[in-house]
Amino acid sequence: MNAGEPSGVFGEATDTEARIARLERQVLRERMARIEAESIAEKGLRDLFESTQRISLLQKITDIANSSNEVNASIRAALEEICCTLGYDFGNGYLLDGEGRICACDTWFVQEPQDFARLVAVSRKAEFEVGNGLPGKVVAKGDIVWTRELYSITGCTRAKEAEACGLASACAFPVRVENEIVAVLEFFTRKPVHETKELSWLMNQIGTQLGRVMERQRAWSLLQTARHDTLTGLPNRAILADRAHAVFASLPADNTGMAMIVLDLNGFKAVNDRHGHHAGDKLLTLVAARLGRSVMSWQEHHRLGAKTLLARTGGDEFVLMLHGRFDSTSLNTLAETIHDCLAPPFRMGNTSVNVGASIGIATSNTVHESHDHLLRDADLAMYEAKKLGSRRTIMFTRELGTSVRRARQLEGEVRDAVSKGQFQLYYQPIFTLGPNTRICGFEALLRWNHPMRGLIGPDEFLSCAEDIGALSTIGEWVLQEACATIARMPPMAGAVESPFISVNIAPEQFLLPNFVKQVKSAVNGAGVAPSRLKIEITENVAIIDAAAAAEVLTEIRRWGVKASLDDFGTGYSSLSYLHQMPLDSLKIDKSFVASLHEPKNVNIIRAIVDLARDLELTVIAEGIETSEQARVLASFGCQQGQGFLFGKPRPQWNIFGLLAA
Amino acid sequence: MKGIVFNLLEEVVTSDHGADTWIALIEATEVSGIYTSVGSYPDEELFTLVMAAANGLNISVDETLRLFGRKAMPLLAERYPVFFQDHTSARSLILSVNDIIHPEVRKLYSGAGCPHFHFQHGADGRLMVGYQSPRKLCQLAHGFVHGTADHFGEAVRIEHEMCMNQGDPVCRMGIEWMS
Repeated sequence: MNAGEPSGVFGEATDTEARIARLERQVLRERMARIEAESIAEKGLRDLFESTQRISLLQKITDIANSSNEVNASIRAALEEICCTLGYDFGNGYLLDGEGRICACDTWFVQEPQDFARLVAVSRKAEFEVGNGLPGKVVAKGDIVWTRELYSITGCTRAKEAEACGLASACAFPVRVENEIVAVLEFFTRKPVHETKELSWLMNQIGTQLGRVMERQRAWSLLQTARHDTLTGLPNRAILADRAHAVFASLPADNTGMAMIVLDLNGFKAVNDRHGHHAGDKLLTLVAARLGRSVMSWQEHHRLGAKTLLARTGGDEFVLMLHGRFDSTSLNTLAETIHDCLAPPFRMGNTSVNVGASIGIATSNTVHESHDHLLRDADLAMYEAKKLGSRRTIMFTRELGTSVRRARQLEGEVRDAVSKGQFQLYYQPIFTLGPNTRICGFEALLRWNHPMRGLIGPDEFLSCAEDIGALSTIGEWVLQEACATIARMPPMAGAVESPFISVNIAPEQFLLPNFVKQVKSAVNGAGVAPSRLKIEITENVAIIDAAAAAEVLTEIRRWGVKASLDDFGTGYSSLSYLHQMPLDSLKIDKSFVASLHEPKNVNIIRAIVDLARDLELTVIAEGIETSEQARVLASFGCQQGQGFLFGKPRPQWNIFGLLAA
Repeated sequence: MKGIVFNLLEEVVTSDHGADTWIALIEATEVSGIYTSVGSYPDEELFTLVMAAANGLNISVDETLRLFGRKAMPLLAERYPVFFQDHTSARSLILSVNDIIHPEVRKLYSGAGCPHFHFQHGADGRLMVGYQSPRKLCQLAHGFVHGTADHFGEAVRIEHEMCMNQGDPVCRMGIEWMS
């Protein structure tokens, strides 16, 4: 105890020096108290700062996880946020492939690229087995790994590069979907890492948040699998519709900037039939690959900034949707590129096959009400292209739309006409020429009693009926109706032979495999003599398949039905087939009769008649309007004739009177 | 200016010249004298104190700042070991100023304006440190560098190649390690 200080604790020092010393000790204590208070406050501030920073980082990661469905983009954004907030120099992402490999997904962030280029180069595509390297250790351990000594990590292949970049420390943490690790994020830093409870908590939270994106991506890809064509991997019709809907909705007021290209393969069915479905499937994948390549090469070449979506929408139908900048020239170039890329034969094992495509293109405009409407136009153009043969492209126009719409309407009506019995036959009498002119038969002529338009001739609807495949049905009806008329025909007064009815047969019907059967069944069904039916064919039949035509004619004629060649002189009129065709008669086209005053035509008719006589064919002239024409034709040796002179075509009820006369 | 700088000054003055000298400085300069490390105080008070100290010591202000900086370093190391623990050389600590110390300082004092240093590695291991601050305290930085070298048992020679106090747009110190 110092001198002068009071002996008791509660006493007051009397000695000044002692008092000063005591005060100085007190000042020192106060100073220490202040410093301690400051350090408590500093720790509080530091903790507050770090916790605010952690929460803000977690908030940013949560925002990223909420706003993105794209795994790599989310990982990239998260790596950047983590590096910038926690002061890490390099962050790198890995995905687990489900087969025990941890593969860097080329998704990384680096603060100063030039300083860490070496480490980035070996990390961005690195792969590790479970247990090896930093990411492998994370997966094996199932937890965060911290290290200030990279060489201590088993299988660490990048320690040298990291050291060369001055990065001694690293940490890595897992990203989980439920309990399964699906990704790993790793970080390298120049400063030594310090493992803290708070940082570990933060990284676990970040792992959970990013796991949500992975989970959504998984769900999405499952959905995608259902929405993609499993054969070619291309989007299917549902995806196309989705995207097209969105693109159409985003178009400007004038609706420009979207195009649909519909592509249908020609020759695919033949490959399927000849080589089997397996080959057909293989062909489709090859075609899809070539289409993809040709679209890419077009995009690279044109640099128009058009986005494309190639979808497989049906068996051998593909649709390419374009969105952005293009013009009709570039679209035609694209179509040409596609035709060219499909031109080389496709190798299928030991054989190679050829397929072509028909392409229809439609570009959006104000008329279009939906993406579907646009697609329908492209589809329509494609069908037009198909009519022209393979490797053709048709661009949809309004005029094309109108004409096709009319044709479609007509098709519907023709279909109706068959079922509603709107067709009827008119009959034009055929007379023998010469002194004893008399009726010898009738030509049956098809008329359509259209409910709105009245009576319509075959020129206006036959090609349409052919398009919709109704020609054969109509043809069969004509045969049956003609035979029924023959059956109902009253006996002709004083006739030597009963009159025949000749029926025009289209080449498509004539060459049907069951044509002979059709004829026999019509004749037998009506119970009439086969010889009273005459079929009229045109030269086209012989041109399409002369041998088949000869065979059919032989067969029906052997059975008793007569055969005649119609419109002789207008087509090829090749003599080479005429004598090979088993026929009964030939009909001189009315154009020759109408210009009978021209010497040239007179000579032609004479030649035809002479020829027919040599071939023992009856010659019929049509379009006879005057008795002079009838006289001249008869004088040439023409045996039969028809035309307005003898009578216009008339309905069935009206011809029976002629016979009675 | 952060209170910690005033605290360091007080500690340096007190340990070298006794508590009375610090009291005398405070009272002679009529500054408040109440400084805590978690507060901020006017720059002028520091300059006034440094100037008064220079007068009392009969040395230049620059020399005073250098002395202060050098002697402050062991005190900083004692009070904030976290800044030093990961370093094994002065060079490493100096290079980490921007990356580590500044963020650490910001953690403590929101809005603390830290000067930014630019580093250039010269030949023979020379380190060039660029500094730009309206406070123009390059002499204090000089002292800190010296004190850092002392901390790691190293000897350095510091040269001011450019200085804002001499009208240059920036300050530039060249640090050379003596082996």
